[in-house]
Order: sequence, then C-alpha cells, then structure tokens
Amino acid sequence: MTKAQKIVIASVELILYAPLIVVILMSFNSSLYGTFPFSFSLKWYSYLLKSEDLLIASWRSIWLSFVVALLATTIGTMFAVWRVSVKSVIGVASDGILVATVAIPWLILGIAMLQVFNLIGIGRGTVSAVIGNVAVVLPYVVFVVMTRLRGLDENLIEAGRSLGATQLKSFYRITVPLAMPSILGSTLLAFVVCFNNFTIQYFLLPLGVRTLPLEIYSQVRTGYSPAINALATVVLLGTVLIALLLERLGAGSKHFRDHR
Amino acid sequence: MKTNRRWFLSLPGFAILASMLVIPLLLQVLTSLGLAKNLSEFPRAGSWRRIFESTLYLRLLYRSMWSGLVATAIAIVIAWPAGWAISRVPKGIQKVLLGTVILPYLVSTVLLIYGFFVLLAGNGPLMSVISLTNLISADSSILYTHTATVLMLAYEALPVLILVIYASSESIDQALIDSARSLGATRLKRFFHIILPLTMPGLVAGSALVFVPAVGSFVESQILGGPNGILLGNVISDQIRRINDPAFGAALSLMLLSAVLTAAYVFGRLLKPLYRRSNLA
Repeated sequence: MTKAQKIVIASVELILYAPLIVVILMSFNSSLYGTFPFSFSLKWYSYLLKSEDLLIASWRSIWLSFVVALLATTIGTMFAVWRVSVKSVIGVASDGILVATVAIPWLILGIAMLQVFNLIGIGRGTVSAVIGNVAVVLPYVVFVVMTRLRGLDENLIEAGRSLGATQLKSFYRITVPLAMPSILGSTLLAFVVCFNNFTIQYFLLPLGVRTLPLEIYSQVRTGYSPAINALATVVLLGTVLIALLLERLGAGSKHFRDHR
Repeated sequence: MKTNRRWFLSLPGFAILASMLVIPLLLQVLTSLGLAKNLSEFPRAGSWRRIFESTLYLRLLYRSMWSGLVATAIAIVIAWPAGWAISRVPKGIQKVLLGTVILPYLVSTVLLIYGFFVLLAGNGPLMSVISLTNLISADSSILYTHTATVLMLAYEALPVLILVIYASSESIDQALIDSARSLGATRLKRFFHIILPLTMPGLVAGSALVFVPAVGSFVESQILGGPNGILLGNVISDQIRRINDPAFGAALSLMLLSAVLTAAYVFGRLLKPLYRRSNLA
C-alpha cells in the first residue's frame, strides 16, 4: 500500500465509524447529557436491563425479523430457483420489479402498502408488518441465492441426472446442498435488513406497538438518551457477529467452489 | 429441464411482489384522485389541484431533490478515491476493508442518525474537539440545520458507492495504468482518460441507487434538520401518521416518485456520452 492509499482509506474509515464509535464511547460515559468530561461508568447498561420498554421492543424486533427472514428465505429461494431457469422476458421483468422494490423509497412503499391493508380491512398490525417486510427483504434473498445458483456447475446436475436421479432428487441432493451457504447467508441478511428497517414498521405497525427502531426513534425525538447508547452498542455487537457469520458463509461457498 | 416445470416456484414471490409493490402503487393513483372512496374516513378529491395551487409543495420537492443531489455528489467525492484505493490493495487486506465498509450499511438508519445526533450535539464530542481551536464555542453546532441532514444523507450513501466504485475499479488492469504512465500521461490525465470512463457505468447505477432513497428520506430531516429543515418526505409522512389525509399523501408521494425517477433517468442519459465515447471499455 502506498502512503496515499493509506491516508484515503484511513480517512474514509474514520468518517464511516465516527458516529458508531461516539455512541459506543458515550454508552460508558456517566454524563446524562453526553457531554464531557468523560467519566467511565456501566450504569447505562444496568439501566438498560431494567428498562422494560427497550427490552420488550428488542424482543418484538427479534421475533418479527425471525419470522420475516424464514418466510423471505423460503419464498425467495423458490423464486431464485425459478429465475435461473428462465431466459424469457418475464425473467427480466421480474428482475426489474425486484430492483424497483430496493430502489423506491421505503416511505412511498410503506404508505402504499398501508393503503392496501386498509382496503382489505386488516389495517395496521403484526400480520401487515410481516407481509410488508417480507416484500422489501425478498430482493436481497433472491439476488444472493440467484448469484450462487448461477455459479453452480451444471455438469454436477447433469451427472446426477445421467446416473438416474429424478429432477426432484437431483434438486434436493445436489442443488440445495451446494446452494446452502448462500441460502443461510440470505436468511441472516434478511434478518438484519428487517431488524433495522424503520420505515416499513413505522407505517405498518399499530401506533404504540414499537419495535426497536421505532422505540429508538421515539426516544431520540425527545432528546439525548444514554440508555439508547448502551442498547445501540449491544445491537452493533450483534450486527458485527452476524456480519462475521455472513463472511464465514461466503467463505464456505468458496470452499465448495474450489473443491468441487 | 427443457420445458419449464418450475413456474409454480415463482408463484409466492410474484404474489408478494404484486400485492406489496405493483397493486399498492396503482392503488395510490386511485387514492390520489379521490376515487378510492371507501378506503379512508376522509376521502378527498382535488389533491392534485391542491399541490399546484401554491408553490409550497413544489419548493419542498425542489429542496428534497437538491438535497439528494448534493448528498450524492459529496458522497461520490469521498467514495471515489476510497473505492479506487481499496481495489488496489492486496487481497487479504481488501477483504477486511470491504467488510468494514459493508458493516455500516447493515446498521439501522435510525441508529446511524442517532450517532450523528450525538456526534454533532452542542458540547458533544465533535464540538468539544473543534472548540479547542478557540475558533467557535463548544455549544454552537450544525445540528438542527439543513446542512446536518444533507451530510447525514451523504454518509448513508457512502457504503453503496464505495462498493460500486470498488467493483468497477477492480477489473481495470493495472498494466493499462502503468503503460499510460510510462507513455507520459500525468496523474490527472490517467484519471480522466482511463479511470473515469471505466468506472462511470457502475458509478451511474450506484448513484441512482443512493439518490432515489435520499430524495425520499424523512427521518434524517426530522431528527437532525431542525424546525426549518423539513423535506417533502416529512409532509408525506405527516399526511398518514398525523393528519390522516391518505389522498393528499398519495398525490404527494406519486409526485415525488415520478420526479425522482425522471431525474435519475435524465442524469443517466446525460452522463452516458461521458463513457460511451471511450473505446477502452
């Protein structure tokens, strides 16, 4: 690495991590208003453990994201398996719809979904939030799994077929195991994206039913909150762990590729 | 597998996409026209007329678009050297660096906004450091100004842009740059004649991916922007969460969506000659 490269990379990392580092540091600062001088304390973490609102919201977020991730992975993997076998206009059109789901502002999607739920009489609610979140995380799952399926060696499937495996059997015994790392990876990705999605939950959950992003939002609007710092640190730690897992699964799929 | 017998696998996916993307957006058109009368307690016609009766909403649209554009531009200026630099480092370090770039993308926007809020707060960490220079006092800050919102949007755009620029830089052969150098091309010339044209297609796509959500943002301005910093997104969100006027909200959101998609398309077309002319690609 040249000196210029080092400077460029170091400065951009500093910019990317400044807001996160500040929150982590402040979670150990005993000041109620996030001001200096800094004095080390763990009191916000013990406060966090006693804060029922935050714990309920965390549990709700985990539960919601779990259901959404499972549904999105199932539906998305099926969709990806179909998509790689299609070369017609429908395939290209479905790619367009998936990209649109990622690119259209969630604000616009969120209020549009709410209109549909109001029309069919469900309105705001957990079911609405699950369906809406499945829709916005679906593209992530489809693209991750699709990329993996495209990279699979067709010869393996052909070999299985020529040795007498039925289409269904070759799918379950060859395609699924080979694509497994990416399927698990897409589940984690779907979980993280749903867990952190504020906008869709803001419009589709009933007023007063708060997931973690909504709880953080409502506390931040009233000002600085040291308990949120502690919670944010815990959430960040969880996100790092999931990111590391994702990375390992990525390495896993590479392992499959190299040794096939 | 000649005939496609997998079509049924796509059904749940299409059902979700149709019911949560296509139908909702079409329904929004009807709602904005006041035609979906049984949907809400307060159906109102004339929402479109109301938008154009004053210049207020057009000015807000302009402000949202301009903020998105400035934020994207700031992010590009920071992301370009970074994405390029990451594409030129040894593979082992590269993997770690890419991981650190992706991580903030996985963190909740609300948390990042909150981090910015803490960072910028008067007497907070950043201002305490800056005030050591005695140029400005520690309790003054750009928090609660429009500048804070735009910087936040630029920050959020960084991971995607760095990754996109990295991806298009990575395929550029180092030999190409080295030979240009040995033929006497200056650093600037190498940038404008090789790196810029070759990374342009990826950059245009990446910019659209960050510009569109930035224009439709509303949480950033609500928390960081202060009383005079609202964007069109805030007005739209308020129609649903506070005022309960879905028709007007639908009209405003459709105006925002069509404006931003048109803008993204026009910019894409305008920038195309920049890289089409290059025959290196």
